[in-house]
Amino acid sequence: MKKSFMLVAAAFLAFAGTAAAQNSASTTGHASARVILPITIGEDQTLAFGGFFAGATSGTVDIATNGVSGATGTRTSTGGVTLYTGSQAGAWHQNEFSIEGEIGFTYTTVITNNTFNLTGPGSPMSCTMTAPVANGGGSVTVVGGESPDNDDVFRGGSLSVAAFQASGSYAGTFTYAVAYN
Amino acid sequence: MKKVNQLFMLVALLAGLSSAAIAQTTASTSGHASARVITAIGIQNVSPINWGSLIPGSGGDATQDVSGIGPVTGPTPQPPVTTGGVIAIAQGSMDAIHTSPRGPATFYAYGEPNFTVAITLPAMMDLHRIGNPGDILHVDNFHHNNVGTATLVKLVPSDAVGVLFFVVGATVTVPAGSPRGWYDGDFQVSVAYN
Repeated sequence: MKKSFMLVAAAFLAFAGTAAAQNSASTTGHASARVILPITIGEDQTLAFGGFFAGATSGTVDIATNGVSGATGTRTSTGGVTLYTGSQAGAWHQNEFSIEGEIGFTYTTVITNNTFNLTGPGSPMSCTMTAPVANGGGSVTVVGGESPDNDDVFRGGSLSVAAFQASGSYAGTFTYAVAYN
Repeated sequence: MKKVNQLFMLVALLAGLSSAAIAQTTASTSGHASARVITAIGIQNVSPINWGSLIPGSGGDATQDVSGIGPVTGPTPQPPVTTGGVIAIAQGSMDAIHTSPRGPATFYAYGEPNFTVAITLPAMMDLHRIGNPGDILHVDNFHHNNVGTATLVKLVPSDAVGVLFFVVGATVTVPAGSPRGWYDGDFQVSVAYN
């Protein structure tokens, strides 16, 4: 008899407690936000092929990158083109872009017109940009098929020179874009 | 009306925020490429060195000098006058007949306008007697009249190439007893972009 009474009392107390919890309740919610740096891009060094001689046959002038900021890279030629290396050759160097943004973020670089023309006094010369090379010393990471990279991206190019290409200065532009992934 | 204005302002604000957000996740700029095709350098001989007629006597040196010829470069370079010139006789009793045709060699280089060039002359050469090449007159002391910076200059502004006229002199040694006759030979003159 005494045991039955204790069970009933315990059940009552438990019921009473449940009824009190349904009237009010509280817990802690969380909110967060992150302000990130906008991504920016700037050209630090143009792609310059320098001075060279066109020959009786067509050829190319090629600039290869070495991934070193402010460096020239390597210049070579093929076919009938002869490089001029004298003091009056004019500057030649790899192309260099500086990309800045949020540390640890990944981005993708795109050249919308990877092949474009350099125009001047003679027939246009076709220029094809090479794949990017990175110095890996900055704060942004590249993915999406591009090179592992940070702040600086380097590109070379290959310039097609026709036989007896008219002498003179030639220039062209391309569009370089970056976007956070 | 007031509510309409407020709604319009809200839409404009959202549009502005949306645009700013897009602009901050992408960026683009123009890259630049340049090249320069340079005109090949060339050189043309116009006239030879001619010491004229020499009488050996006891032998000596005859120098076809180029001093006083020029300048042949400048805003409107002109070919130098190479008839006459100075024949300097040294040593012995050799004599020159100054009425005979003589003069330094004349050359012009052509190529990329305003480029400077270096002129290279031989150290020496031999003249061989026509008909008997074993008879030799030795030539040295080659020199030219461009003592400063040699620059290829356009003759007229519309020219695609620049030119440089220059003259070359040298000294011929005529030993005593040299057989009479005509002597000739070739020498190499080179120009190169600096």
